[in-house]
Amino acid sequence: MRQSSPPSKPSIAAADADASAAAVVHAVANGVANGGGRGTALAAPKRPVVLVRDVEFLTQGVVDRLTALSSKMQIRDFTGAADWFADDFLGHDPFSAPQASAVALPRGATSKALDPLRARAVDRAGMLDAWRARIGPWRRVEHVHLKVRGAEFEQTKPPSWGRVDVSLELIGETATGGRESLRGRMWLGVVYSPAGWRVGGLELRELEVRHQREPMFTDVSRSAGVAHAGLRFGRPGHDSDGWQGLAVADVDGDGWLDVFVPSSLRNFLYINGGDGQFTEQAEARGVALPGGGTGPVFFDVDGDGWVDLCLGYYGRELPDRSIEGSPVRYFRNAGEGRFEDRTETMGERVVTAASSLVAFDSQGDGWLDLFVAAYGRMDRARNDSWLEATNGAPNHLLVNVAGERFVDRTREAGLFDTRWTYAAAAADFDRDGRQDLYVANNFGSNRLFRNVGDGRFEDVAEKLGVEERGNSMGALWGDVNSDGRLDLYVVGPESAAGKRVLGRVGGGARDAQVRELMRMANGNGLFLGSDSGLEDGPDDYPARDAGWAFGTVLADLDLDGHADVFCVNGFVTGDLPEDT
Amino acid sequence: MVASSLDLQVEHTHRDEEIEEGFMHPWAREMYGRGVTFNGKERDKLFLGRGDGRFDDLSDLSGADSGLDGRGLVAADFDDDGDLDLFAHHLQRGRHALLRNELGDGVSFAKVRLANDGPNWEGVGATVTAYAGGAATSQVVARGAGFISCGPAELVFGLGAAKSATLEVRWPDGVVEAFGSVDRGARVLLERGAGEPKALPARPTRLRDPLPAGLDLDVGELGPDLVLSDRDAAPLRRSIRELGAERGLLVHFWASYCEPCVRELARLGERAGDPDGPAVLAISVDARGDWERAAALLERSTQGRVAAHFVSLSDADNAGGLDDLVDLLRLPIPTTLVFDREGRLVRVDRGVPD
Repeated sequence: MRQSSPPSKPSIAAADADASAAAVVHAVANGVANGGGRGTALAAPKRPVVLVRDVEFLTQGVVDRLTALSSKMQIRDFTGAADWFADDFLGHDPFSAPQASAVALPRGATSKALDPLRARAVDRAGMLDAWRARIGPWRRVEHVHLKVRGAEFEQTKPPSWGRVDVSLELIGETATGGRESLRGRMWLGVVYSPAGWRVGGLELRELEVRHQREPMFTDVSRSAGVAHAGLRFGRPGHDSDGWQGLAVADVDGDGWLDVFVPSSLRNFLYINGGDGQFTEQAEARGVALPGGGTGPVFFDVDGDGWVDLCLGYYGRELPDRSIEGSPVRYFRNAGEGRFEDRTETMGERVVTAASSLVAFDSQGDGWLDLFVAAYGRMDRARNDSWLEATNGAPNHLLVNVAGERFVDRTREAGLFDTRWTYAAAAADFDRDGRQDLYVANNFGSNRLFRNVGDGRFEDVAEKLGVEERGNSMGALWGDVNSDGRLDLYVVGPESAAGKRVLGRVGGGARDAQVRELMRMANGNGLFLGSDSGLEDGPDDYPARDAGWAFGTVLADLDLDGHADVFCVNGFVTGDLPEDT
Repeated sequence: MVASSLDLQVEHTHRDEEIEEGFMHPWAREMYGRGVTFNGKERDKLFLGRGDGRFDDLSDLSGADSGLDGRGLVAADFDDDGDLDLFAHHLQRGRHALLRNELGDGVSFAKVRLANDGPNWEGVGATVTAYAGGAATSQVVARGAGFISCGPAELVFGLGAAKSATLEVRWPDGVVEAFGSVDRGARVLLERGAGEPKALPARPTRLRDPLPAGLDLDVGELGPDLVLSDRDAAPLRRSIRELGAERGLLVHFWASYCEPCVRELARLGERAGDPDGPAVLAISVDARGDWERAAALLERSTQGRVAAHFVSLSDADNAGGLDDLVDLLRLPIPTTLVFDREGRLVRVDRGVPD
C-alpha cells in the first residue's frame, strides 16, 4: 500500500526472555531431523496469533532480520551470518537438493528445478558452509533477498516462535563470467531471542537454478559518458518526490538520439556523438536550469522543424492548499539543439503538482497540444479515499494555437479531473481518425477519454471496462499479441505486503472489498484490443508481477517479432534493514 | 559504498543526520532520511514476449535488473545497430543508467521514422503496422507515454526470421497509407503521400565497451591514496603512486571465501617475489570476522611475501580513497588493477596478470 505512516510499534510482551528457546527450536525444526532430510513439514503454530495488527507486527520483526541476513550474505560474511541462526539450528541445505527436471529458456538460458524432498539436513555450521561453497566462488554477488510472503506465530509467550513462508532470490556472476540465479521458496522456523529473531529450522519447498552464459544487457553508463552518481534519496538536494523521468530526441539534427534528464538541482542533456559516446551539454545548450522538473517531452511546438522541450514541475503546497513553484516550462529549440526558455510566451502559466506530460493533437488541427498529468501534494492533507480519491491537483489540456501560444481548454474538452494522475498515453485506439487519451490515476480509477471531435472528449472507461481501479503508475499503447490492434498496458504496483495483509483479512462479508483491494495489489494490467473495443487480458500472464513498477516500455527488445516488456521498479530502498 | 560500510549499516538501527526542509512531505522525509526501505529492494523486470500474450520472465538473467529504484525509462537505439537500448533514470545512486542491448543480431529489424505533413512532422499519434512472418505488429509514435518518460519518434520493429516486412501507416488523422515492403536491416523514412519508403543511411556503431562493473576509476586516471586496515583494524596509509614509484603496482582484490581467488594466491606471491616485477598490494574484501583467517591464508599461500590489507570499517577512511577507486559491492573478484610508475591505471585484469 502506498500511503502508510511509519507503523506505531506495540510493545512486545513476549520479548523479554528466551529460557526455553532451544526447546521451541526443536519443536519448530522437528520433521527435518527425522528421515535424513526427507522432510516432513516444519510444525505450524497450533494456536496462531490471529489479530492482524499483532501478527503483522511480529512479521515485520522477522522481515527486518531477514533483510539484514540478506545483506550479510551479499557481502559474503558467512562467519558473521552465524548470529542469524539458532545454536541448535537444524534444517535443509537448500543447495544440496538434486536436480529433478530441466527446461530451456529463450536466448540459450536454462532452468533446473531441484527436488526439495532430497535435500540433506545440516546443523548451523553445515548451513554456513553450504552458503560459502555455493556463492563463495562467484565473481560477484549481485542480489540476495529473503522476502517474507506470509507468517504464522504461536501465541505462547515467552518465547515467541513462528513459521514463515519465505522466498529466496540469489543472483550473481559465476567464476566463468556467466550469470546464475537461484529462486526458491522455503519455510523458516523462527524463534525470538533478545538479540532478535533467529532461524531455528529450514524446510525447502522449491528451488530453481537458472543460468545464462552470455549477457543480454551491458551497463555502459560510464564508458558511454552518461553516468551520474547522485545522492541517496532523502538527502537534502535529492528529496523531491516529483519523480523526474527523461526524454529522448535528436535535438541537434545529426540523426543520433540525444537524452534530456531533469534532476533536482540541475538538468542534464547528453548529446550523442554518434561514436558510442555522449557528452553532457545542458548548460551550453540552455536547459540546465531550473532543476526539479519532471515528465519532460520533446515535440515541435512551433512547427519550425526542430523538436522543442516542455517540462513539468511538482510544486510545493501552501497553507490554503494552492500550489506554488515553477510553472510548466517551454524551452524552444532555436535550431541545432540550442534552447531558449520561452515559458513567458506560452500564454498559460500552469503551476501545479505535475507528474507526466503528453504531447498529442487533441484538436485534429495538426498542432501538437500538451496534456499535463497532475498528481497532488500531501503536505497538509492526504488522498481523501483509497478507492476513488478526487482531491489531487487538476489535469490540464493546453491547446497549441498555431504554434504561437497555448490556451487552457481542459473544461471545454471534458478532461477536467482532480484524481491523482501520474501519467497518460495517447493513441487513436478506435481508428476513427481522432486521438484518444488514457489517463492513469493513483488511489482511484483510470479514465479513457475517447476523442469525439471538435476538441471534446467522452469518458468511456466504464463502458469499456478499463478503469483498472487501483494505484496505476502509468500506461502504454502497444501491440502485445501481434494482431495489429492496439492493446493497453497499465502499469501498477504489485505488493507482497499488500497481498500478505489482504490474505489475512479475507472471508465473509468483506470478501468483495478484499477482492477489489487484492486486484489493486496485483500489479500490471493488460487489455487486448478487439473489434468491440478493449477486453481483459489473461489473468495469469507473468508480466503482471513486475513489483512496484514505474517507467515501462513495450518494445521488441530481442527482435524476434514479439513485444517484450521492461519495467523499472522499487519504491524507496534505504540502507536500513527494514522493508515496509 | 564499500562492503564494510554496508556491514556497519546492517548493525545500525537509526541514523541521526539532520534532513533539511525540502519538497518531500514530512513523514516521507522522516522515513527516507533515516534510511528506511519502503517496498524497495526490487529488481527491474524483463519479460520476453512469445507473441501470444504470454511472457517469459528473464529479469534475473538479463543483466538489466538494477535495484536502484527506477523511475523514468526509455527504449531507443542509440548506436544504430538496430536493437533498442535502455536508458533508465533511477532514484538512487548511479542514477543515469544506459544499458546496451546485446540481444540484437544487427539485421532482424526494420527501423522507421515518419515525415508527416504540417507542424506535426514527426507523426506523433500515428500507428505504424509491420506485416512480417504472418504477424501484424502495431506501434504508436508517442511523445510522452509510460510514466514520466518520452521516447523517440522512431520505431524499431523486430522481424524474427522474416526477410522483409510490409509497412503501413495510419496517420494521426486516420488516413491509412501503404508503403510496400522493406528488407530486414532497413532504416527508412516514411513520407506522407510518397507510398514507398525512403532509405536512410545505416551508420551502425556500438556504445563504448564498459570497464568492469564497480571500477570507479578510468584507465589513464591517477589512483587515490588509500586508508586500509591491518588484521587488527589499525589504519594503514598506502599511496598507489609511492608504492609503484619504482616498478609499478598491482592492486589485487580477493577474499578468503573465494575459491578462484585462493587458487591464485601462490602466483601472486611469485609476482611479489620477482625483483623486476611490479610491487603488489593485496586488499581482502572479507568481512571483519574473517580477517584473522584471511591474513593467515595469505601469509601461508604467498610464503609471507604479501602483507594482508583489509577494507577500513570507517566511512571517513574510505571517502576520497577506496570509494574513488572501486565499489566493492559491484566489483568482481578476483580483480587486479595495474598501475604505472606515475600511479596511473593502465590495465584491469580478471586474475593475477602474467
